[in-house]
Amino acid sequence: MLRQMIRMECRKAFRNKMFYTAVAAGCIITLFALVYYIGIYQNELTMMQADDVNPMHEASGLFNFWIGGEPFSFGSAAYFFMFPLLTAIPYGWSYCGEKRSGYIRTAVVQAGKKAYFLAKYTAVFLSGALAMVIPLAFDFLLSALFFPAVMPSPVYCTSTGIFYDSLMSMFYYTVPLLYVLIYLLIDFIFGGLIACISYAAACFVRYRVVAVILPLFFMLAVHYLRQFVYISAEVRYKEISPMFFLRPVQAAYPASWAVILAEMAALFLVTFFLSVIWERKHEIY
Amino acid sequence: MVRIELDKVTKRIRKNTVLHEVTLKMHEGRIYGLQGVNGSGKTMLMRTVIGLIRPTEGSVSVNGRILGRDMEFPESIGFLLENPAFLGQYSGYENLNMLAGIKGRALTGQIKDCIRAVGLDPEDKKKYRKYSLGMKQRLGIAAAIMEEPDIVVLDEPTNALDESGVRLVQDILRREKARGALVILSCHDIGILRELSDEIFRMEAGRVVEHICLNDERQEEGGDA
Repeated sequence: MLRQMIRMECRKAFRNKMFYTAVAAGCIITLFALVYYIGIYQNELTMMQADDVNPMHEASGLFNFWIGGEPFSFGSAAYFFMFPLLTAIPYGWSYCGEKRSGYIRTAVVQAGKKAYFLAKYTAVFLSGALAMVIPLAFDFLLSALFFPAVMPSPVYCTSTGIFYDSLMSMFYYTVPLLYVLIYLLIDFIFGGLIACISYAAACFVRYRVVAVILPLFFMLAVHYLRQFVYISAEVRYKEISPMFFLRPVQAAYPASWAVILAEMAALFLVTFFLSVIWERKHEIY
Repeated sequence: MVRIELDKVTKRIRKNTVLHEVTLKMHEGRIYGLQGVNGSGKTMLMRTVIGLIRPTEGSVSVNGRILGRDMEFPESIGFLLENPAFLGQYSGYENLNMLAGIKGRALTGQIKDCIRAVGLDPEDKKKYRKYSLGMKQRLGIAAAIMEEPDIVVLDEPTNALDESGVRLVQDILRREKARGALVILSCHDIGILRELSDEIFRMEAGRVVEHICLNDERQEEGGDA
């Protein structure tokens, strides 16, 4: 029963206009970054052709020109600001809608509450995760058509934005593709969990729009907390805001596995408890 | 043999008692009508039988198994409560096919037959959101009966239906009864309710105040069946 329910929920999640819209919007945003960096790379090519300068090949390549490798372009800023919205748009609203319309009654009696809520969680997670990662992968592949995949050199760390204490900096300078893949996996998991905030919020709110917007406000609230945490100029803090540490490039403080895994676990436990365990105990009218 | 028993079922929502010590028994192959004004507790009683809400006191058992303790929902039940609710982006057939796919009890042909039985076209690609109220109601009835459930619960199934639709519902209910299903029906049209039902429970303020047996002309007044 659970397998059938997951299949049905995934079909609903992936075959809907909102999923396509969110992925398309994400891809369009990444194009802004790509166009910007194509311009920069053209300038750098011109400079490289000069005889009397260091061409600095390792400072201008795919791994620091794709959207995840640079924090400066409008596309990059917009994408890593809007991703909570883009992950919730595909299917985060569905529970809210089904509760309001009464569809939930038919579905839970057919499948049982456990299967229904678990399948919904799975589908919301996967839709959010894919909506987060597809535009990034799209940008990476598209960027690969324009920029050479030169091995980054730590000599140019000010250009790459990956420093000695950055997360997985060793991978970045030795197996950069693996670094990108691991970051895409982190973003995949976080994208899914952030979409599940929307599902958990639907347990309390009546309107789909509110459920979809809430993850963005939650992320902004966490980001706002930074100013109360980072109070000393002498301490080398770790990044706590997902809006920064989900970027494969170090935007401010270095990311750390402890913070990433702790936030991942907290998000999973809270959203899973609210939307699957707590909500399951409620009666359905 | 299907048998539903409600034993002193009381349901309180905050300070309101919406069902008050309802005790009744229902058997397969019969149509039970629920009669009463708005807010008398008909829909709440149906929700309790379906298992969507749990009694504050008392118990509901289906074939001797208590809902909420021995099982979550009755194993074989189809229902239409209040307004039919389906997914707007899919056609009527797609909606039913998806729901039927969960348990896998209704085959494609069976689903299409059900849709035809309620006067709709299973090949119609029109999205559910574009259906008229009457079409939505018909699809809701089709969903309730498509798996040939042992228990059929229909809350105001003639809402939004024209005369032919009402006749269709009557025929369907008779067929369901003949098949051996236990049918629970609420309807504001007393004429239809009396015509179809074998027994009627008249409800007032969450209580069953009258039990009318129509097919054996037995009548008990003033309380529980």
